[in-house]
Amino acid sequence: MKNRLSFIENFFFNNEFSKFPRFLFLILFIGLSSFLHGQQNIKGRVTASDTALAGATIQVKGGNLTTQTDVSGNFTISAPSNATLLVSYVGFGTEQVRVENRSTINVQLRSNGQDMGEVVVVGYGTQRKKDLSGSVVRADMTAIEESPNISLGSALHGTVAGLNVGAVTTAGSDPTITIRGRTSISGSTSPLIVLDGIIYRGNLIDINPADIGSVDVLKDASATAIYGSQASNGVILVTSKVGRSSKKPTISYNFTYSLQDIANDEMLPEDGAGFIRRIGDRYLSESRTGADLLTPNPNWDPASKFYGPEILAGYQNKVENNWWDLLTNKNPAIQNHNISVSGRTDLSSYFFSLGYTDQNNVVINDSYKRYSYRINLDTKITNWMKIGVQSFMTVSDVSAISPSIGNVIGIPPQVPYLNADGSYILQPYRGILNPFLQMDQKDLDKRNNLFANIYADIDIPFIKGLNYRLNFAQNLIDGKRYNFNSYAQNFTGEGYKTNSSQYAVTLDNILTYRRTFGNHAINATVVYGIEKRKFENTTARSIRYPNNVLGYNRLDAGQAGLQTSSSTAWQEQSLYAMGRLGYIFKDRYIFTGTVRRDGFSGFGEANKFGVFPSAAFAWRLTEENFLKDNISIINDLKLRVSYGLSGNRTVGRYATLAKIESSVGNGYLYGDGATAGVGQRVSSLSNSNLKWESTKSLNLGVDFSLLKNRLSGSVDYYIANTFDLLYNIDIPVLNGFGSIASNIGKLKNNGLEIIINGTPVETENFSWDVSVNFSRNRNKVVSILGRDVNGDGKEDDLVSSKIFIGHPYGVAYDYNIIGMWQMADFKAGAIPAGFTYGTYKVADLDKSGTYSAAADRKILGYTDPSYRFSFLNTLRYKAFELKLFMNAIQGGKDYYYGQPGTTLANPDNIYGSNLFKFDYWTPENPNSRYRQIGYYTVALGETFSPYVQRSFVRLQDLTLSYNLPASILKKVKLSRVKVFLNGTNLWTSTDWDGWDPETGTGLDVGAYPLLKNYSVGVNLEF
Amino acid sequence: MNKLLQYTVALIFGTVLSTSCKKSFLDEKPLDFYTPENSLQNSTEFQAAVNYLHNRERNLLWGGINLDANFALRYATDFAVNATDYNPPVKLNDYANTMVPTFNVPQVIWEANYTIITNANVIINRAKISTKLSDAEKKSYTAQALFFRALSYRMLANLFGGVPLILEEIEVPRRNYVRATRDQVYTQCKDDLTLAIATLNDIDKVADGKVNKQVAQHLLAEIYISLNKPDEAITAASSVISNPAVALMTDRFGRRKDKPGDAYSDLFELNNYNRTSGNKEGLYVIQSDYLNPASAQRDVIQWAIISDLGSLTIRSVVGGVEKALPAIMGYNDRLSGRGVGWIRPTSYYFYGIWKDDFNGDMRNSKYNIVRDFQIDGVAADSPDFGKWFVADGYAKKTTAFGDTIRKWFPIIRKATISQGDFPVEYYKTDASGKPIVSPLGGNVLINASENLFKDGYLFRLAETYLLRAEAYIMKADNQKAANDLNVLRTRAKTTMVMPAQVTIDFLLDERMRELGAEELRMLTLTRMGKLYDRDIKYNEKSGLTIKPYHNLWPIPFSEIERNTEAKLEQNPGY
Repeated sequence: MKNRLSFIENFFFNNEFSKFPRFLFLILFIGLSSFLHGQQNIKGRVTASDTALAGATIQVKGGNLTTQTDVSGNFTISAPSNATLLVSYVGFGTEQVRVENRSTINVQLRSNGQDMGEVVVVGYGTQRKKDLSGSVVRADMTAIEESPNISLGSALHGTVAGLNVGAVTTAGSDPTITIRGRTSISGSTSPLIVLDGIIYRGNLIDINPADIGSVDVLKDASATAIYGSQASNGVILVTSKVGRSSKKPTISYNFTYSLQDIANDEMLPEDGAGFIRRIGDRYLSESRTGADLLTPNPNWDPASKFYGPEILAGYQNKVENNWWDLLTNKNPAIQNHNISVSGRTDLSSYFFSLGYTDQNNVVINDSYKRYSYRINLDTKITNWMKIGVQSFMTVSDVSAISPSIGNVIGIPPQVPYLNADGSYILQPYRGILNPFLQMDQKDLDKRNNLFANIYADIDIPFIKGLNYRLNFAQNLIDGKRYNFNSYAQNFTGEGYKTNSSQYAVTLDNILTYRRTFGNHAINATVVYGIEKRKFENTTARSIRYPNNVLGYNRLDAGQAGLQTSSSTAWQEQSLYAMGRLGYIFKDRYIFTGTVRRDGFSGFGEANKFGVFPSAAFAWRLTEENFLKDNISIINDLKLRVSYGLSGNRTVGRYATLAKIESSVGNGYLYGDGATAGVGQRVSSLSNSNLKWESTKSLNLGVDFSLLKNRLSGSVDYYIANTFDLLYNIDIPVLNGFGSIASNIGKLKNNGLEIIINGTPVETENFSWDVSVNFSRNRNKVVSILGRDVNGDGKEDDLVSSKIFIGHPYGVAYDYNIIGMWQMADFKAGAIPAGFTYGTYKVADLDKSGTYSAAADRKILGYTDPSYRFSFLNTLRYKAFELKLFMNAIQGGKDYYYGQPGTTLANPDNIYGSNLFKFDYWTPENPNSRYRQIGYYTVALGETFSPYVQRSFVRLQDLTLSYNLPASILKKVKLSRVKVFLNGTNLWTSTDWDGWDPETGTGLDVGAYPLLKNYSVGVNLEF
Repeated sequence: MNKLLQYTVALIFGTVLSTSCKKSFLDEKPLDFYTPENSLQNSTEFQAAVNYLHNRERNLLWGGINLDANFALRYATDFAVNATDYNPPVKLNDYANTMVPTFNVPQVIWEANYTIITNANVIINRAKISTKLSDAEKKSYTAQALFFRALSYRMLANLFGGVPLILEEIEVPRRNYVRATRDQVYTQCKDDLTLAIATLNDIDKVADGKVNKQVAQHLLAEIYISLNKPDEAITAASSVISNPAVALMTDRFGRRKDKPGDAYSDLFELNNYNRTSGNKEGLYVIQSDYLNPASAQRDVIQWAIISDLGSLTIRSVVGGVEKALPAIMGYNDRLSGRGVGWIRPTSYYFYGIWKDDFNGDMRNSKYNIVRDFQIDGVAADSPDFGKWFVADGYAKKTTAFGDTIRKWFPIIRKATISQGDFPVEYYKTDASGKPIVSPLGGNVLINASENLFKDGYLFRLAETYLLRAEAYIMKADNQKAANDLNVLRTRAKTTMVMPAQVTIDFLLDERMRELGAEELRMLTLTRMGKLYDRDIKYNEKSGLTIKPYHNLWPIPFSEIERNTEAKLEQNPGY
């Protein structure tokens, strides 16, 4: 003890920390008092909802002795064996715990409706939420935990203001995720995903959502800048579960079963009569007579328009097939099983889990299976060193080929699919392979994802608060894609095997110094690390099989000389150093500064490294006496301001090098029966100046908690300016290339995010919680090419790319539809050339009498949403809980425009395929939204069609759950049983045409439907 | 304990050292692609670069580019109309409203040619500095690249007039291009070809499909005509014609010479294009082999120019009720592979040009243009079964408008392949896997039979005669012009043309008789400034709106827009 003290004395008196004598005094006091009174040392851990609480205060009741928990929630305190400990934390109640001769005391704090004391993950470390100066939001994972979300991404849908998650429609796929507004045109707009401290490059869907303890979203530059050149789209920090704070293992089993159905049944294909009717609507002047074309033409024979003989025969034999019913699952279902074992001993904690997911969507073979395993372990091997591992393995399987959805909808009902002998017709219509045979391929599509982060955590001896952590993480993703289609290559067969392997290794050295000296708290982090990624794949392919029974397992059975192999590979390296200093004075003034230096192999020779600094300041007003003493309704109030620089690695690997493209497909042969020769060309010029895009952003925020924490929330306003935007500038194709990438453009975003949590009612048996998220972003193109050729003093718009300076990126710029040309106009001869009855009447903006792209288009609106909000109501009555989650994206007057009709077939093709119903013009339906299907105005363009807003309000989740009361649980020896019913996507209100406004798919035969789910589930814990 | 501490310290220092900031750590190493520095050095690599030029030329000619652009090289001329956008006329059928500077077709053709030019320039430039090529190789690769550069500048000059001349490898993109005059462009073509001819080998000394001296001389003859130098054109053409290695194929030859047909039809049979088959007429044969990975690009001509017979119906009485029934069981290899009737030859091509010797001209024989077929789409016991669609009056009775334009018109045999030459996998099979055969004979084909895989001619000797005839007409030497034309007409076993009958329009008709569906008619007409004249006379659709200024295509608007540092002048009228 003496040695140690003298060391500390030396340390502090010989450096800058000697300014804090009070601190030293405290240490001495603690040391002395424990020595003098002979009290016992008590160790323990403070947690709240399974999460460690760092900085919780432990006080011996009636005494002056206090301590605080460390990063892992652990504390040590000396107290008399009969003492009582007061454990407290802001936002939580104070717990009184009797020592009763115990030497280990674990305390679980209950939230009092507020979680201001929560520890959030901030990248290379954690922080108490109350100490945050940047915009970091922890997602409420409980909001929609009962819904059958296969991807962790989908489980975040609508839970965080400013985190925009799309809807998914196909099995085993991840939603698109963006944070705040668009900061890139050419590059990725997806946030960086960090899993257990390691940048994660795999698919989010490979992470079993059941294994995830928390998700934190970094939104402003102060929070994201520590990820430097990859941070401008925001960062999502995913943290897996750890062993809980109890000696007894916790075994938990969750099960859900969901039935699925399409959310919107207006998109089902028409029946046979509908198909025939539409042929008539395609040929209005032939199927109808009379001046108004309202009288059916008795001589009209739709069969004269049939495409090919197959349908003609089917029509004459009165065949009527419902292809939708034939090619979709009757009871598509999702099954989910998760089992985990977790616990903690004095030295170790562990979490093991197994997960199984089996998803079958509506279209046959649109399926996904996932097997996931996780092991999280840590153990103290000395009292100053902990080693551990966070690891998972996921096997995912999306094997099997679905019939193309275009065929499911498009093949006319009259087309037969069986021969007289009951076998499948090979090509029932227009040379299309029979969808039943299309599904008949041997197909294997599996992915193994292995991830392990092995770490050592060392509390550096002799320097209190100094911690060194070494992360060594590896991620190996193996893909297998095997396919054998005996109908390909004109029924001679084609098989291939592709094996791919992606490997990433990360090595992070993290040095943390965290200490409190009286009124001063310091939290400093230094990181130095590297990341290396490699990828390679190999494909072997052969065609024309004399005997195909062995399928892809015998590729050499294909015709000799026509067996090909190909391979690709890449690698990239990153190197980075980061420093962060957090300083808190009197719990009141919070300062955080970070700087990161990032090097990436993909940047041009001239710009290998970038530096990304940020700074933030927060002021907790409630710690000031004038508030603390005078205004009791305010429990917490914090103002935040941050400013910083972050980047986007728009420039991918190899983007700056000159390339030669070489392939046999670009090659040639000389003579009949000659060998194929390779062809090669220079495919890109070197461009060594390319670098990352940069975003400077300012964030202003308020966090508040009022009325005994019954009402809390935060408001953030931000401005983000992106510059060095990578844009492919058009150059004359005379150069042999049509464009060249350059860091040239500028974008600006500003936005507002509001999060409000309230508890309007709270009684012993009944409570009602409400959370509202609101976000709004405004995007503006500030500059693109910086050219003013027309000399008006303003930068020119890039009309050909529909980019307008001063307007958002994503503009509905087109002719303005003011109505439809009607039969009356036609008879009056009032319809201009190129138009006819039932075509769009557009505004002649320049009053020239003609319609031209140059003079008659205008900005009709923007494609971005105006605002998004979500609304979670949680009602609890005794053991029942009802959750209702509404989600909405709105366009207001000018925003969120889409063009649902662009994918409709042109007159040449629309009569040959079946389709769903939609609102097109006929003489009988003159006030339609879409033009007649037999003619389009060439001047307006083949795909020209109305712009429709995608605004919607959706009942995204509705859950009723019941927790078995403790009395029953005791009898069945379980610690927790919850049963629930859940429905997702039950109701949507929108004006959009198509499967779904949120997915943005319009009148598109090739798009997959959004599904709704009805689930039952049970959670057991023993 | 102490050991553990030592290990820990060692570990920390070890990792810090191993990850220390070496700049070389961030060096970028390409793993699966080449860079110009390491792969345009030796002969193999230069050959690969030349292969790419052949590949791009084939891509342009066979429709690997935008289809409308490919078709535009043939239709909207006196040769054909667009059959799918016929009524009301849209696309190039409405010539005046469609052929505008923002139309994508001129842009696509422009881009395809400048791609060839810039890649040829790379070869020319790199061959000079290569240390691994012998002098002979340097000259050979340069000569081949010069030929392709001239070929592309010739297409551009014919269509657009003067265009920017780019003769160096581009290392820094420019935006300050200006147009050369049309004469300057042709002169450059002449210089390139003259240089190439000095090096290139004779056609019988190179592999099939390769660039050779004779094709360069043929092209040079056309360039001299464009430069208004008929004497030089005649010299160039004569040096091709007089070369004993090339000859007009006047007798039956090749794989099917014992089957029904004639000397002209033999020219277009599968595997009869290359010299190895005995064919001495091809000068530049575009190469393709079924299933060869270096010939993935199909020729779209069959698919585009054969009518959409599969959808053709007739009215037939079944069980006392009149019904629409398919005219044919399916595409039949007796007739052709699958077509969709996109390009429909004008009635001038199908009837007008043959009227003087409709039955005598071999090029209009039943082996070359099939003008009727037997109905087999109805039950064998139907009275309509086996009837001739045209001769028995069914064609006249078709009521549906599209039928008469798109679903039925005579079959141009040179655009397809012959019965028995389709791979068996193109045969449609019944449930038991047996090929379906029409009761009238011939295998029924699947839709994939639209993928044509035979070779094609870019230039053959017959056209050299036509070029020389054109040069003689320029010199008003009608006798010699007639002599050349009569060489072709003799082979076709048709009547001889008298010198007095020889005019440029007669020559254009003769080109159509000889080269119909082969030649890029748009290039011929714009080269001669005859597009307007001929369209207004013979094209049923574009002739209604075409104006004299359309004799040149517009410079693509986007090129003018992107060329911000200098002005690319637009052609007058646009």
